[in-house]
Amino acid sequence: MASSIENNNEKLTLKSSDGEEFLVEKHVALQSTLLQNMLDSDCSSADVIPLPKIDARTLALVLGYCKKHADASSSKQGELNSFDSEFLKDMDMGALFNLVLAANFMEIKGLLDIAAQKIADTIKDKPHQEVREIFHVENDYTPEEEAAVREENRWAFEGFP
Amino acid sequence: MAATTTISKLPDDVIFDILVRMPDIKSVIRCKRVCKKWRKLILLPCFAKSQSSRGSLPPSLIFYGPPDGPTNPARFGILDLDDNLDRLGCQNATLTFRSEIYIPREGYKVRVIGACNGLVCLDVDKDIVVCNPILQERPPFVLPKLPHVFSSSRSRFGFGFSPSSDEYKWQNGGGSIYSSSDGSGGWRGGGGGRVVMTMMVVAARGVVAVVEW
Repeated sequence: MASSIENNNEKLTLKSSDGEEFLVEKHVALQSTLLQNMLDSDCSSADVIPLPKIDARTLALVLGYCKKHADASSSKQGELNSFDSEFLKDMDMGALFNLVLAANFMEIKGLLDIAAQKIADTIKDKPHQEVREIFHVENDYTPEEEAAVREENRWAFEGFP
Repeated sequence: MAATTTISKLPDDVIFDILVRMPDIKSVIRCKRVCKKWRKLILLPCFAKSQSSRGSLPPSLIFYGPPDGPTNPARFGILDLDDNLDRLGCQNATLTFRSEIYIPREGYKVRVIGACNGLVCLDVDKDIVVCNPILQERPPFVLPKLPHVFSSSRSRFGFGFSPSSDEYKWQNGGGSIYSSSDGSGGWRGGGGGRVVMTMMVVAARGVVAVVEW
């Protein structure tokens, strides 16, 4: 591809929260709107771009996703779709959360879409107590308030405790 | 598995992104019970719009039964197509209506003026009422009375949403348009022009929120 030849020598270095550095081709980094804006506004003159919110394990996953999507041509949509579903398969909730946070921070829309969708699909049939545990959310309803929410929406809780 | 990863707390906008992708209405509504913040996110007007525009949920149909004598007031039944879709094609199918729209002052004639983004606008005995039939958590909102509203033909009322200005609009019989954006107070009015409307039997997609005008 002409663009990748043209940009062949342009690489940037990203640094994860735990100090690991990743050398990334520019056209791969452009999958991230955050990095794209930084490059456009020439904030990238620094040798290393620190990403203090993203650990190395997550950043490696994110960059794997970006590389696949940057390298694939538009005619390979089917291949990308199967890559996406394979990419998230067997991923635990902790990894998914880190991924969705990274995608949100780096503004990678496609990755945010599939990670958020995967989390939604995972919690959809779980009772609310389990959802609280997964998300580390505290129940701040009083027993009366919680009963009222349940009562107002009784039909949705049929078959749930 | 999860023990090897620190589970971070997700910011509100990410929680919103997840909730808006829930694949069915019941799951979204159950999530209201998780905590107050989740319930608040789901009730935001932009949540309803966002989910509605995704168009990934089966529609809910709203049926209207006119009043029949003093003992049978006007009624609305909601049919969730995700539960009933397979049965709709069968002869003599029994459909389960989920719930009814709360109507103040039962027994009066009620007319559907229009619907958009899952909100339904009703004419209940000279009051214009906007309600949220899918979530149905709070009483409907009764719009403030407007001057000269009922002087002309009622058959020309309309209710709609204008994406370009991000406003809900309500049109009276005289052709004037009154508008209100989410969360602001009152109605501004009333210039000319027309609003594109969805009429009568309503395909209210997704979970909708009460718009607090």
